[in-house]
Amino acid sequence: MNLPETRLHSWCPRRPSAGLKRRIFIARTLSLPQIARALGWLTPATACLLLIFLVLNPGNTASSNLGRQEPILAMIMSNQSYAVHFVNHRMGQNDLSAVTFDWTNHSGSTPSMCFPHFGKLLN
Amino acid sequence: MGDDEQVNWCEQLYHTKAAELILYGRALGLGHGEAEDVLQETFLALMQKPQIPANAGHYCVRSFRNRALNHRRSLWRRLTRELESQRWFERSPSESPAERAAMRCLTELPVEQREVIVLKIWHQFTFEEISMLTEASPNTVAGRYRYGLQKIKLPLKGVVYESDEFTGNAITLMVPASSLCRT
Repeated sequence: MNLPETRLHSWCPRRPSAGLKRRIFIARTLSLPQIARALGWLTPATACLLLIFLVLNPGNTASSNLGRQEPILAMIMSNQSYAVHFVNHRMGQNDLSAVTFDWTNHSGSTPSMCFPHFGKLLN
Repeated sequence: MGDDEQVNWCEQLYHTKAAELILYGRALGLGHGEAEDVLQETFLALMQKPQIPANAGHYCVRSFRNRALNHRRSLWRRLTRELESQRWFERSPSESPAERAAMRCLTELPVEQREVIVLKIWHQFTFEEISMLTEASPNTVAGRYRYGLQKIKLPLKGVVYESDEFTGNAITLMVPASSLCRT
């Protein structure tokens, strides 16, 4: 190399940052096998814990509440008149099951038709 | 080959090549951070290889080049690159203003010229090897090298004038030299 090339060669290229080597080598040697090993037992264990939690607390979980709401919502979506009924039912209006037909419970009625006394006829 | 052995040769290669590859990335138009990203990709890919490639240094440069050219295409990256530091070399206390001008001149050369200069001077590639890598003829490569180097020499020559005559001619020489670099 002649003079200008030697001088150019003496310029020291900017070094990569210190963290880069760690990112490439140390992170690599630690990361992949350890992550793979950890995931090997961590995923099934988490799934088991979740399942146990769901089984032991069926009433309190959000998913079970959601499950109960789901058929009602589906029915409201498919049947618009049921939506009106459902709302009224919730508010206590137009609820036939709540209405008591008092008059049906009284024993004494005043029929408009007169029937002959069968006893007199027999005598 | 075991994992440890693989990491060892890669680490040795990293120590000898990392700074030069970052410089090569800059010559190819990447910012410093981008060149580091590409370097990381290159070495992670190298460590996946089951065998040490023949002439690992050259293989590494070629792999780095392919990744750098792919990386350079993104518009967003090009915009963020403009905001990055322009410095390609470590600061040196003995660095003269003329040398700084020459360094700036190198960064402002056309990509093809500075690529050849970086490969020839800092990676010690022959023209034949550069022509194989860049898929240009050896004559073209040599022409790019000579033309680029000629432009870098101008500000460096200014230093000689300055020391010989001490008349301030160096400054008048360096200004047009830096504008020459872009052509």
